Amino acid sequence: MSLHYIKSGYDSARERPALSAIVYVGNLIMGLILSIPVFIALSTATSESGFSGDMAGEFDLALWADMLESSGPLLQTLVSQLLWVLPLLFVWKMASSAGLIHAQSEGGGRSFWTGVGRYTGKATLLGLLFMVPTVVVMVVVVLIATLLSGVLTGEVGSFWVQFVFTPIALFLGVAFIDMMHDFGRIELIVGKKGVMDSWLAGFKWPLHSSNANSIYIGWMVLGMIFLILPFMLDVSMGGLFLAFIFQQILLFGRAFITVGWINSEVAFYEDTVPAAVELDETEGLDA
Amino acid sequence: MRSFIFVCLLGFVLPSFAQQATTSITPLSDRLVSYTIKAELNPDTKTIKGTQRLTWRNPDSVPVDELQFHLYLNAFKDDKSTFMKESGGVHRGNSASSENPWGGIDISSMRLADDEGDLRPNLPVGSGLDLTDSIEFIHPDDDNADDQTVFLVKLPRSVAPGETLALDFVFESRLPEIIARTGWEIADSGEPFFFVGQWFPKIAVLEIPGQRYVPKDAPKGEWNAHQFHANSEFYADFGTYDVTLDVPESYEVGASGIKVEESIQNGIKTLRYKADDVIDFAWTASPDFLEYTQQWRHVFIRALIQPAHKGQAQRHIDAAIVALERYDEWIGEYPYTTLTVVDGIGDSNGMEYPTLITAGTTYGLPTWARVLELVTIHEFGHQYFMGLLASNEFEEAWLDEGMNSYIESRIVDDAYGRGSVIELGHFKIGDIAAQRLGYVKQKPSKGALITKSWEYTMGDYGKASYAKPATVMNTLERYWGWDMQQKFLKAYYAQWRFKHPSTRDLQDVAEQVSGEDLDWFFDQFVYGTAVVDYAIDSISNTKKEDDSYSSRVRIWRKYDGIFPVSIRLTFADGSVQDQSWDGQDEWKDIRVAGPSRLVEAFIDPEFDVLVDINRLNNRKVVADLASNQFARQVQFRSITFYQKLFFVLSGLF
Repeated sequence: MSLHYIKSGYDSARERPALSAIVYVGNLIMGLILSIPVFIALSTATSESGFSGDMAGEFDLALWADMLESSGPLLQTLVSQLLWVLPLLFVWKMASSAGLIHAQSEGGGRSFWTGVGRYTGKATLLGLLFMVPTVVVMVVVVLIATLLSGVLTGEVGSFWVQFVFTPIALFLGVAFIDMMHDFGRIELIVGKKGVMDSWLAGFKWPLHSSNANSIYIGWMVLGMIFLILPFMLDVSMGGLFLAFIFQQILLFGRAFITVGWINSEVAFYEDTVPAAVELDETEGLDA
Repeated sequence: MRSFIFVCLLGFVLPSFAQQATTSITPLSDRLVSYTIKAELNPDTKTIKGTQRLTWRNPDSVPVDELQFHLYLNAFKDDKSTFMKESGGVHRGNSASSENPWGGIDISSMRLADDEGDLRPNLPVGSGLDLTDSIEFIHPDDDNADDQTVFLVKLPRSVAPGETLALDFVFESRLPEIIARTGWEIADSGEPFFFVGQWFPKIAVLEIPGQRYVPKDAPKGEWNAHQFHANSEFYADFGTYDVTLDVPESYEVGASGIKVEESIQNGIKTLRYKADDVIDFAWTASPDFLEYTQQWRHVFIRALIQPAHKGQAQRHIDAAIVALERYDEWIGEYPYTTLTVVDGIGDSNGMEYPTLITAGTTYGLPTWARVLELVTIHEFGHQYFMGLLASNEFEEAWLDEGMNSYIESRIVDDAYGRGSVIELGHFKIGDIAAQRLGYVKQKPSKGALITKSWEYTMGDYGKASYAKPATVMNTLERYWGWDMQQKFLKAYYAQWRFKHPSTRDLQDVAEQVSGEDLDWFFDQFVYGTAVVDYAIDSISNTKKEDDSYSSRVRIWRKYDGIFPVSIRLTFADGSVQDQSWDGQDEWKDIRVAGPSRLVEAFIDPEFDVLVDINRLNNRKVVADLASNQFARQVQFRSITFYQKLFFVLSGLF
């Protein structure tokens, strides 16, 4: 059953590649902006040094240390940039998710940007509300890990608690809340519920439906693969331009997965919950 | 037939080595001291009760009427000792956590021996033999009256030159919770783990006229006894140790020297060890140890491994063999027939005693992180610099830690390649590079190699005793080549093993071998704190009427350090010109004329001068050849990194 929805998501993403492009380009632009100070710092330090080609070829600890010493203050600005990048990323996630849900509801063909314009505010409020359970889950995982440390003592026990249990539990816990958040947003945009109602309604989905879980997990696994592959490429091919191109292809694939993922969840929601939306006749087909 | 003879010879040689602590049937050292110790470990009270017969031969040409001793376990007696004050109770990040972490050593009896007349024929008899009440704690390094790590006794009669004195001790050592590599710790199994170092009364070194820095014309020798400090613990005479240990039957024991007897009675295991031509004796005991062994030539390698690390046992042994092979080839023979590598707990790790070292690892340590190998090789190296050459670690720590770090970096890089310490994909860090970084980016103008270990300011000890000397010696090697360096190292070892060389002795050997006055080198980088940094300041080209070019490179010596360097000039037509410069002037202009313009200048292109604190400024290209290849590449990588990060973070929102 869930495979049906995953296939539906895949078909939808393939039919509207522009949606994937929007998600991909949004992330790319933010990454590009953040990388500019890196480029300036390294260019200033190395371009006339004659070492640029050598350093591009292989990691050299001595040269890196010299470069970081001379570029330290500029590179430190990267940390302060998080102050505006993280909120921007949050709003972008809310806006793009609202756009994708709206665009793929009612059989698809609706406007991405109308969804962004109409629901970003409410989706942002909903996102802030879902931060509460996210934080609660994190605290609970840390508490459980602390309790486990009392049981799984010693070096081996600590290893399993710190490096295996805690990251996996945090990952699964956050994924659990993320799934609630996904369906809460769908309740908000497709189900036309209020923010608080959507928030509360979102909680039931992981418990209510095994198919919802299957769809989420299926796409999550695919999404992880498409994040791990670029990492492996980076490790194995270093900074080759070809590697960058391959990674961008994979990251476009990751954006494609986001589109398909949301489509599957919307389609499943619409099949499960009676439609509560009225198609806006004025909408045209766009991205 | 040859093989048969070889096998027969091997069969003859190996068993004979198995019965002796060194490869020699005659003494290798002057054996000024001998210790016969019987000790009993009480795991419940964490104490060791012991009796000890110490013999000491007066090496001076005049009588000696006073003896000085170390009682280093008293460094952990309370928070008033010099060690605790210097370290703040934290040693390399480790501190005690139990309610009663303290240790110490009490001598209940110290007396001149009266049962071996040939040793001490003219002793007064009776109560005059008892020296217990004569023990007087002294503090030669500071004014800390509470420190009880060094004591002296006035003898009732002086010891004649060449005469051997025998002393009997009854003592009890209270082991501290492990600190500075000594004491006990409760293992994950719930069983106690013991590492027992600096645990018995030990006589200090009487330096005679002409030895190290005692003037040859001095009227008599001087006791060189230092309190136990946070950063140094070794300086002792060579001798023999005959140690009998009683431990619970279930305990596995590792110790300096070779085991010559073992018996079990009433739940107590009694083990007897002999160690010859060594400066110390330490041991470890735990019911948890797993034992792994391997023979390498004449050396019986034994690894005592914590159960959680059994998967890494072979890594310990392999690293020890890597070190043995290269020390044997590069420096000289390892004369002992045993080596025990201990996988200890907590602050017991990363330590050296004669034929007994602690390494240390963690559960799940990946093979691309060679911390275990690096530490094992480093601690093995101390067998030479701490053990066989036995320099004064208190006063010249670099001769031990620094020379050892140099060879360690060379071995580790030789054995494991460019990513010898960390090798994760394209991210590779070698040991020589890591050591260099520990010097050049850590206030390189502070901390001379020749500084008493307790006089360094915070942070300078590690740099000046490990990273800087390793980098200085790697630079010397590149200055005159590996062949000369190897001759120097072999000569240093051959001339000075078992003789406590000083820095001056090491320089003398280097100068003898090379025939070069090395004051310029030692004054700057061993006795001084010279900082080397050469930079290309500018490149300019002027086109002449005949279409040829007049080019100039301006070089800047930015600090006080001076080192001869080579400069490579590259021209637009691809031709290359190498020049040598003595590096003396603060500013140096190199002018060249030719048919092609100069496009690149590169100081020290082979990276021989590792003490140069900034390599990036060693090279410059003309503006039109400037390249953003590296900056662009890192930018691309950071873009994809951020993209991935954003996808991951999106899951949080």
